[in-house]
Amino acid sequence: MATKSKLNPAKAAAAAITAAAAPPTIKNAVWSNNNAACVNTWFCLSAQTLGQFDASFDDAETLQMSELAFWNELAGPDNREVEASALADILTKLFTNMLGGRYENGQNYASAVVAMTLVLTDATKTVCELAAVVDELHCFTTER
Amino acid sequence: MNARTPSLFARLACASALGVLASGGFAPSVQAQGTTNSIPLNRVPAKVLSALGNQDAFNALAQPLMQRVLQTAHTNALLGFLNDWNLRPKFFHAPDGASDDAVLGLEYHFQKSIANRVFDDSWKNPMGISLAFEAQGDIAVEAKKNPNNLLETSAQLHLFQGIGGIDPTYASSEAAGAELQQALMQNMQDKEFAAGRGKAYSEMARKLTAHMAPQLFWDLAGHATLEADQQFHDKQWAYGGKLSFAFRDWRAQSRAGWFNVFDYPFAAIRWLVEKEEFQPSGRVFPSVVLGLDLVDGSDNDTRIAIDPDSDAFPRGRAELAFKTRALRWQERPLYFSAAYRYFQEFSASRAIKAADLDRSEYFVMRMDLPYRFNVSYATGKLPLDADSDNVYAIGWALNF
Repeated sequence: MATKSKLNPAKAAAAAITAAAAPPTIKNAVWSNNNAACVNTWFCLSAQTLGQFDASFDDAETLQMSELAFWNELAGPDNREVEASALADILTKLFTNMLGGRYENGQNYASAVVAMTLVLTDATKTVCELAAVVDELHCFTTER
Repeated sequence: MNARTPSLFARLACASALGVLASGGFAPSVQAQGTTNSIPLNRVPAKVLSALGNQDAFNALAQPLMQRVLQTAHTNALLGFLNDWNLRPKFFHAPDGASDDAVLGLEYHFQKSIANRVFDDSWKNPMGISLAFEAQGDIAVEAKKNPNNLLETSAQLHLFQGIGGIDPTYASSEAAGAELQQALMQNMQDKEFAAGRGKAYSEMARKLTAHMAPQLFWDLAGHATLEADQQFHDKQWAYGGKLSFAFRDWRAQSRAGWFNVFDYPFAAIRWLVEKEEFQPSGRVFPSVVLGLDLVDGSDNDTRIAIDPDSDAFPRGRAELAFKTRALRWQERPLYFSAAYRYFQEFSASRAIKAADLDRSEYFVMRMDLPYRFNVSYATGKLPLDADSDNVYAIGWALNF
């Protein structure tokens, strides 16, 4: 029978500090459930909204664009681009129409669709990296 | 192998039928010839086969290596530029009549948006304009084994608009949005919600999608493109325009989905196997690209050998792509994917027509199988391919 190991407060604190100080899994992007861009990106893409994946918030961080439901490896680049653009269009509309988001200074609908499409059409980019771009483009109500 | 190719409708009907067969347990005895990211089974060592379900070994090796080289903390301008090219090592496999070995290669994709403007921010469906540069293609160690031997480098001007998506009669207030956002942030602290499960998650999803409507996204683009094989032996300039569009109804229960006849066989599979409600999906209508290009074939040696006239010629193209979920296997979705590309030269000479170089068609479809296996079928040729092939393949997905 397995025995429960005793919690060592000093070790736990050290581990927490190490984890907090560790570099993010994805360069230049932090995946956090306190960040509105991360939460909105995950929620909007999740199974019961836009149906792009069935992953939990934690698991979605490292999901790549090629693992999203819209990604068709057999499609030509133009088809993949218009499908990604349609997804980017509905994402930015959900952020700005339903979740009260605004565009950051210097950003607009066109730059949002183009920037998100660039990420969405890159097979190796992750949901976390998409959220980082979403954050650059949108100012959510929690940030005001 | 040269073959006359059936009509698009017949192909998509066959594609749907194959999806039914494949998902019902297609025997993996098909001749092992491949497409991109496919390896014949008889070449895969037993040890690797046994580890197929666990990890992607090539991915584990290649990706950290590429990141280590290109994404260092001290990235300089050159490394940053190389990183933007999204270099991706991959295996190619295509029949060449002599050998069926897989060869190592590299995929690249560079895309840069230079300027973006929106016509009127106050519109419900704003229209955007964008100027972009793009280069992409696959390079194999042995060019003749490159199944996608077409490098494309282009500058593009886009005019685009997404019509719908959100009900146009719905007028949201910033306060309502802020309230929904706050509720979402609070719910995220709940583990079940963050797992995408439970009543609260479903209720929040219902609220977010309550005012969604069918969406039509269109993109009208003008471009100048250099098309070449990887050795730049055959190359040609293409100028022209394209209109691409994708129709979507993102809601799970979609009236528009009933018009998606391509998804009926897969809706039937989901209904029979998954016990889901019979509902063709509105999220997976085929996307369509229609293009008209002026192609400069003066550097295309194969073409010049047949017809010495090196004047630019107009060429039309139509491309369709379709992907839908057939079923789930151990929580993992198994998709059916298909794509069709058609190129037609207008007012081609008799010599070009006689050599069957005035038009080219390429059709490919694939059904995912459990444990990352897949079965695929491809037929036809792309514009710079000399021959048309019929290729049946069974492969294993390497996701880089």
